[in-house]
Amino acid sequence: MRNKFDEQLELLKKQMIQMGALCEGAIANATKALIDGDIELAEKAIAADGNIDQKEKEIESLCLKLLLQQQPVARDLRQISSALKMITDMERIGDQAADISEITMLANIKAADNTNHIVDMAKATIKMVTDSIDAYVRQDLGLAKAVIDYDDVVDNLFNDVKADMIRLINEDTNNGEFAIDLMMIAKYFERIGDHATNIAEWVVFSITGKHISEV
Amino acid sequence: MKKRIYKSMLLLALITILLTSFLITGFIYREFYIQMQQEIRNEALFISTGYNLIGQEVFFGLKEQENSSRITWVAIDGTVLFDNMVEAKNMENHRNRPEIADALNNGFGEAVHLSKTLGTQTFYRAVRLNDGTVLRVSATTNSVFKSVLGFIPYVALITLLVIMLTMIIANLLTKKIIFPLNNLNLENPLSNDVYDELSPLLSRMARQNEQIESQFKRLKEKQEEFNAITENISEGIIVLNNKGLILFINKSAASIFNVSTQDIINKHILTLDRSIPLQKAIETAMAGHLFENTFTISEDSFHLLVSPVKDDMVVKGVILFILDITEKQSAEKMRREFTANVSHELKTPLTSISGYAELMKSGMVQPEDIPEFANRIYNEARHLINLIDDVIRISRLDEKNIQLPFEEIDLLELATETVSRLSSLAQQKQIKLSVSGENAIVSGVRQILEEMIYNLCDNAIKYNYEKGTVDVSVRALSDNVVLTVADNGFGIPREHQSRVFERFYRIDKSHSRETGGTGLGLSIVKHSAEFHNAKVQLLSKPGKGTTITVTFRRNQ
Repeated sequence: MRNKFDEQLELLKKQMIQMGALCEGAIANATKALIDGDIELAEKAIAADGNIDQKEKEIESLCLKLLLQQQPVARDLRQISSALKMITDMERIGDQAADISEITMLANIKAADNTNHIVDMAKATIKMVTDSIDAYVRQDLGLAKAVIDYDDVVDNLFNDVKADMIRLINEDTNNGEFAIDLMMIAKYFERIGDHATNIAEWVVFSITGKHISEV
Repeated sequence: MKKRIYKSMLLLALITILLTSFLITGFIYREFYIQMQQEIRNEALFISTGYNLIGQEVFFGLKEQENSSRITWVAIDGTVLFDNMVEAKNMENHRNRPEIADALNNGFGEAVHLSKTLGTQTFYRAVRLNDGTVLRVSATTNSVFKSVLGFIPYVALITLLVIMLTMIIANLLTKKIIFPLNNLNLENPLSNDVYDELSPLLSRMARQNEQIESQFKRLKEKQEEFNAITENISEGIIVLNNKGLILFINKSAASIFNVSTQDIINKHILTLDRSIPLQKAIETAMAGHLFENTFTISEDSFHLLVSPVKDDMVVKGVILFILDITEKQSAEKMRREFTANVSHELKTPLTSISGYAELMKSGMVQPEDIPEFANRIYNEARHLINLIDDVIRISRLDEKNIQLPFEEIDLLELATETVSRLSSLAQQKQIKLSVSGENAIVSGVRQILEEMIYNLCDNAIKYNYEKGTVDVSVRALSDNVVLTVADNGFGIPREHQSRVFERFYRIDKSHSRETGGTGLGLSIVKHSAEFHNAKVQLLSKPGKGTTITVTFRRNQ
């Protein structure tokens, strides 16, 4: 009985990593599509959203099954409940990567390389997502905390992008549409950063049993 | 063990107590019975003798005497004549009592009467006196059951004591038996000096120990062999079981994924790398198919071969081979670029040659212009030959296994010789060309070193102002030999400095065409230096000049 439980917990972990990998792939593709203007990659990122949603459902039902059939306690319970919370954030990351790609496909993104800050922001966000999932995989408390702290970097970059966009519009009002599109993309990146922070917070909870504010 | 010892000891003790009590009771009872009978017989004998001598007075002394047996005198018809306990006239006729009847008939009679209600037994002895009357003596004692009942509390007490004692002894005994067993030297079982009964077990253990040791040794040797082979190959190898757990990972694979081997063993492959291409590769292999692809980890390229390990058509695990092809790929890229560049460089002069030739063929060139056209064609052809020469040189250097003899070469001598061949070129631009320094011997291939110095000086002259200077110096240091070619020419802008050694890289294409360079000069210099394990250093300031230093190691 216990053996089966352990096996199912392993399966849960495996599926979580797979879902994380899907999210990483989606956001990496969305970013590459944005920087290089590669429509094919943007389509890939949008398609990945469906896979991520599917994975979320799978993990959700696995978690509920575990809760009902095994009635876990202590660390096991924390692991399952935090997994349930984390998949919500991962699913949102997938959505936002798809949203970014949709804007990329519709908007005129040729000028994206003019604005270095959005590229920096995309890279910082990818780093946060990768690190938060790495923290989960390795159960690395230090890395999880580093991710939470790193959110400030993304927030500051968001302000820089905002300043860039204001300058762009001041230079030429024709840039308005482009600036607003880019601004929305920046906002999505900022939100992805927040979701990565949430994931890291749940990693901290699953390891220590305390929410980050209590640690 | 303790419980069992305790139980058997207790059982033994209880059986002993029970049997002993039973036997003792029986034995004592029998003795008592016989003694009682004897006593009564004696008493009856004494009294009857007394009566026969002195008559019935003998009874008067016995009347109402306490602690005496009961004495009854019965007439021939059974009427009780005297009793020392009860009034004789109140007593019933005794003729039918068995002992009295026996006495009347045979001279004596005996009987034992057991009273269950009172728990007593009474012994009777009747004797016929000389006058035919009968004397009966009787004594009453507690019955055997009552006696037994009397000592049951003592037996219970003893039993309790025995139980406690057994418990303590069992405890001590177990400890004593177990102690040497717990302190057995299992590494070397035969060295133990314990119970003889254990020696078959110990010798069997010794044999098994030997077996385990030899098998362990063999396994270890095999493992070491396997490790020695796998650890030192540059390809990464990872072995997974059918659940995706890492059973083995060699050093190269661990360094590719930037983990330590110990940390990752027995973890799931996903914890090592969760990239989707890898997941797909493993899935394919788990389904029993070979998978081959290239993938990238942090900008390095790898060739991945994932092969299923099958046993009876069931996939038991997966082996991953990872080949680092970063270098191969960049070499391939360089080769592709080189081919493209060479074709382009070859095409340019050929186009000019073919253009001039076409003009001349169609007769559109005035006869007086023909020498000029021929000169141009000649120049372009010369350029083409130079270019092809350079390409051949650099290709040969690329091969790296040139079969040319290494010899001891005096670098100063070689420099002087080479520079003299360039003096006419230098004179055209009125450039002052000088060689200085000391004699220094290096081991190298003359032809290659000559080409290297020629190219360095050629560049220093070509990219120089009129009336400039070019200094070639050779210095012999304790460890190194340093060749320096310094000019005060155009110099190389900072952003180009890192790239001028690349093939066909030119700072300014139009300018190079004028000077007739092939774009391969510095590349040849770099390759020649590398061929001799020497280092090339570039120092340059635009407008001030360029200094290129080639440092040879002396112990070469």
